[in-house]
Amino acid sequence: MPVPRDFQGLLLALQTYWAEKGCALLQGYDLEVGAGTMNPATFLRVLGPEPWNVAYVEPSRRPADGRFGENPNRLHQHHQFQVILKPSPKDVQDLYLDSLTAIGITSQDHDLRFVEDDWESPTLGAWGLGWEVWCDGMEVTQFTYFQQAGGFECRPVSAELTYGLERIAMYLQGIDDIYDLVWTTYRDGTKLTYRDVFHQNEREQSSYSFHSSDREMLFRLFGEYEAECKRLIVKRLPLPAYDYCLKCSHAFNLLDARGAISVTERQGFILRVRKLAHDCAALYLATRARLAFPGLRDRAQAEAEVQRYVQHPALKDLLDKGKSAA
Amino acid sequence: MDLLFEIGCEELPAGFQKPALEWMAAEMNRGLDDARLNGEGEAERANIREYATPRRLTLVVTAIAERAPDVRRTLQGPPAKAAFHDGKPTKAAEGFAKKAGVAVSDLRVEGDRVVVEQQIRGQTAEEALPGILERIIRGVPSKKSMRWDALEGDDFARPIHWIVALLDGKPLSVQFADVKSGTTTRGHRFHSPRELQAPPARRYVEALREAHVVADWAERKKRIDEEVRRAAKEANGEPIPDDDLLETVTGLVEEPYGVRGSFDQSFLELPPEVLVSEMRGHQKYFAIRDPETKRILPAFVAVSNTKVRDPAVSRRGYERVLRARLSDGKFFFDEDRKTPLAARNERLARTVFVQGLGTQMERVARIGELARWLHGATGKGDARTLSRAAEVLKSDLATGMVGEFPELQGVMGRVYALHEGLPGEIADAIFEHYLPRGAEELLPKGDTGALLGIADRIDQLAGIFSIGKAPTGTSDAYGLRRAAIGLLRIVFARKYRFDLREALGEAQRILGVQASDKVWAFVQDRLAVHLRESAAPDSIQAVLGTKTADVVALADRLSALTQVRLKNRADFENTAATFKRIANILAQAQEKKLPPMAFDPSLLRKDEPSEAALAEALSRSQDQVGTALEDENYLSAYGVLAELSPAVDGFFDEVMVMHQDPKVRDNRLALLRSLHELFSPLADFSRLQVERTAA
Repeated sequence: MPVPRDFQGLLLALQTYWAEKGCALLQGYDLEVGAGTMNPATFLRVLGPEPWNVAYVEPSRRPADGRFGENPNRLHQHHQFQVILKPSPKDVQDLYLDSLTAIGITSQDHDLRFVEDDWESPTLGAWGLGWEVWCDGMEVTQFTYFQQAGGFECRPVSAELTYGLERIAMYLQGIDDIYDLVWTTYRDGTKLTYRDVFHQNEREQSSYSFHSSDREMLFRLFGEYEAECKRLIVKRLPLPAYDYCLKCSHAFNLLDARGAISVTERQGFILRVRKLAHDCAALYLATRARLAFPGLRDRAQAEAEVQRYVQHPALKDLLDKGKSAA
Repeated sequence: MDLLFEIGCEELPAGFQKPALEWMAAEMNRGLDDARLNGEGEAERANIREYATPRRLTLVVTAIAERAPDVRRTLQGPPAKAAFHDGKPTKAAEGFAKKAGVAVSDLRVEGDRVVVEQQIRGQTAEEALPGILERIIRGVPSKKSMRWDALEGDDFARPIHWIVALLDGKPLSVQFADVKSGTTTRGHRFHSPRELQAPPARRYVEALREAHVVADWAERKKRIDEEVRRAAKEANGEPIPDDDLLETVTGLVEEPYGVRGSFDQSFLELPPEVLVSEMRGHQKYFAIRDPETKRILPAFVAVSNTKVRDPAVSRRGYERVLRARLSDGKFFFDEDRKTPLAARNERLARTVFVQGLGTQMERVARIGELARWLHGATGKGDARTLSRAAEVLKSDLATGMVGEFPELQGVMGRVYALHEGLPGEIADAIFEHYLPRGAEELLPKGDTGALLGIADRIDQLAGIFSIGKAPTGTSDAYGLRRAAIGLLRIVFARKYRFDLREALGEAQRILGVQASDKVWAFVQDRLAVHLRESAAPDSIQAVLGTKTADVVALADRLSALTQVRLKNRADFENTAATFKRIANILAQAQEKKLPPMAFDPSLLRKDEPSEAALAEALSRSQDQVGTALEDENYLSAYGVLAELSPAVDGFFDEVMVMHQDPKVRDNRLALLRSLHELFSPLADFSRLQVERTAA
């Protein structure tokens, strides 16, 4: 596999590498998310005992980071390459370093470092320990061993690798302005740049989130999404419920970027989203347990795991009610 | 015997390594003591050395005893009545013998119980160590620890990959999570990637050095320092000293290589503090300055963990990242300067200082009010300047730059204040009210900054105490110890005269909370700790006993007392012992509820002249002492005290205080009370640990 020269070559190289390492290639989620972690393929799938090895590109929206297309390093929407390995393999660091070699970053030429980083997402009730991985002083990847998600212990522990694609591409292409990134080259030799693909979007989205968004509507939507999420939890539909939790989170991010939420209120909103995330996580776990964790091929193990989750105080109720309903 | 014990990990947090090691070494020492493998005398003790890199925690222990000495002990068993029936052993006796590992015939009766002598064989090091080592791995303290893979139970700061436990080269069996101890270690992640036969314990450091790992913390730190100096020289500069950064970087590399880089001259328009923060904060680069002028240069040194093929490649990387950061910094700097500081207060009004203590804006208002009160009490500074400075004192907290680099609070405030044309005195006060920062020497140079700094700390102390978050033995989440010490250091340096206790009360009044003397007691404790460098603990307590809350006066009195105690030890001890006695007599009189009377010369008894002699000496001294105290010439007051001493001694030698005639008794008590009160501003002598020496 030749070393990638353009942005999409980088995506392809990472996908190819992780596909060869036995990961299922998924797609980014079709709702607004702030990070690949929020994709249910990470947030929900790291819960419970079922193995899960996937890789996907996640377009990630951070309204407050928008810079009207004028900052060479910051974007309203950037792309993460997300890998989940569950359980975390023993040789996960080596696998990761090999993936860097696959995109042309070798330890012979670069100062590669694992620098302590404790990751925490207050809105998801999730945390983990790991590193930011540095390449010549630049953070290229967030490497996390998930300890908790939605307030639940992760057993087994998943390794999450989140590559910052634009940064890495800029480094590989040796350019200082994100908009000069070459996305690909057309047949006639024209270079399609990041500017061609995203610049107008950056300008308009920044303008929207900082100046034109409708606060009243967003506050209202936040409330409606929250209510819908709760309603769906009662209906025992964890995945649709979680979609509305994500919508709440995005509405919150938009309001935050707009400066519509005071410092004191902020914590309250975060706690509301966290509560939803927790309830979705609990219901998802209960649902998987009720299905006897079909992802576990060893049925005896699955049975033992079901017993364990039945004992969980936060799930017991959900499972009991589920039975009586069924 | 020699032990090599190495825990091999994925990259450990830099700040975790050293405390973990210290704990491990102490625990090893304790373990060897408990197992009696540490030798008897100090000279025979095992020698414990500890090493850490990002990928390993290691103990090398030499001269461990091969086997602990045997010991005998007597084991208590069941009552004799229950153990033997008609001289025949019962089930109870059999059970006890079995438990003790002896035959029933070995049991004997002592008093009314069955006992047995047990010979306990000393364990060999080989037997005892695996348990000790597993306890060590499981006990290493970590702020946050993690699980990994599908393992249950064991957790550690980062995943463990290998364990080496070799006693004189022979493997010991140690297990943690799913890792069993083996005989191989690893060198540098990239420069020596293959597994390595673990060396003999005494060759550990050397062998790892060959595998591109500098295991010894101090050696690695020194190597980094040299690398940084060498690389800085390439840029015709020297590193700006930064020991904290050196420590951090020591925890980030196994073998250091300094790589010099540079940035565009135009960024030098940023304040040097910003440049340094950008370099050290996120990037862990060392900032470089001109060795002559000490001005910051547009250059840095990054410390690589890898000797790369072409440093130019990684240099370009280091420079790119820094360039992006400096551009960001430049952006904040330009944006911040568009808005005057005072206009940022609107945001401070929406930011909570501490739950229960209002917003930052309310806090600043309190600080201003208290500073003006301090101005009234000390006569220093001027009220108008204090008010104006207070208004913008914390405004920089709402700037982009301080949001990015909290450690630049005060620094940016000054820069921005000067930029918008505020008077230098106000700009300096914003910066100086944060001084001293930590243990640093730098203190406020102007009254405005000093008074605001004192007010800030007093408000913090009184406020945090009022919401019940006073420091406990182990935790001081709001940094109150540091606040109290900082406050005292400013007061001492500026020689500000005011009643600190009153100031704390004033702060409580402004806060609208209940008055409480707990804060003053806390500050007194810190004061005692602070003064301990220069005086004996009982002298400190004696001076604190004078009840003044003017800490400068306290320190002066303490220094006089210390001098007098040192200069004429025996005499002073005698005098002090006498005054202690007087204090006791007066205390007893009070206990007996004897009403204090005014001294009446007509009641002096002619037949006991030393009574009159003391009264006369006292009346002669009164003015002298009064003047000396007024002038705060405490040494001179102590001089008078010394002169009075013979008269006091004579009095006690010849006169009975508790005379049978109550009038005479009360008059003598009155005489002693005047004497006591005259000198009580010097010290509370009853708190001194002195003994009357033979005359």
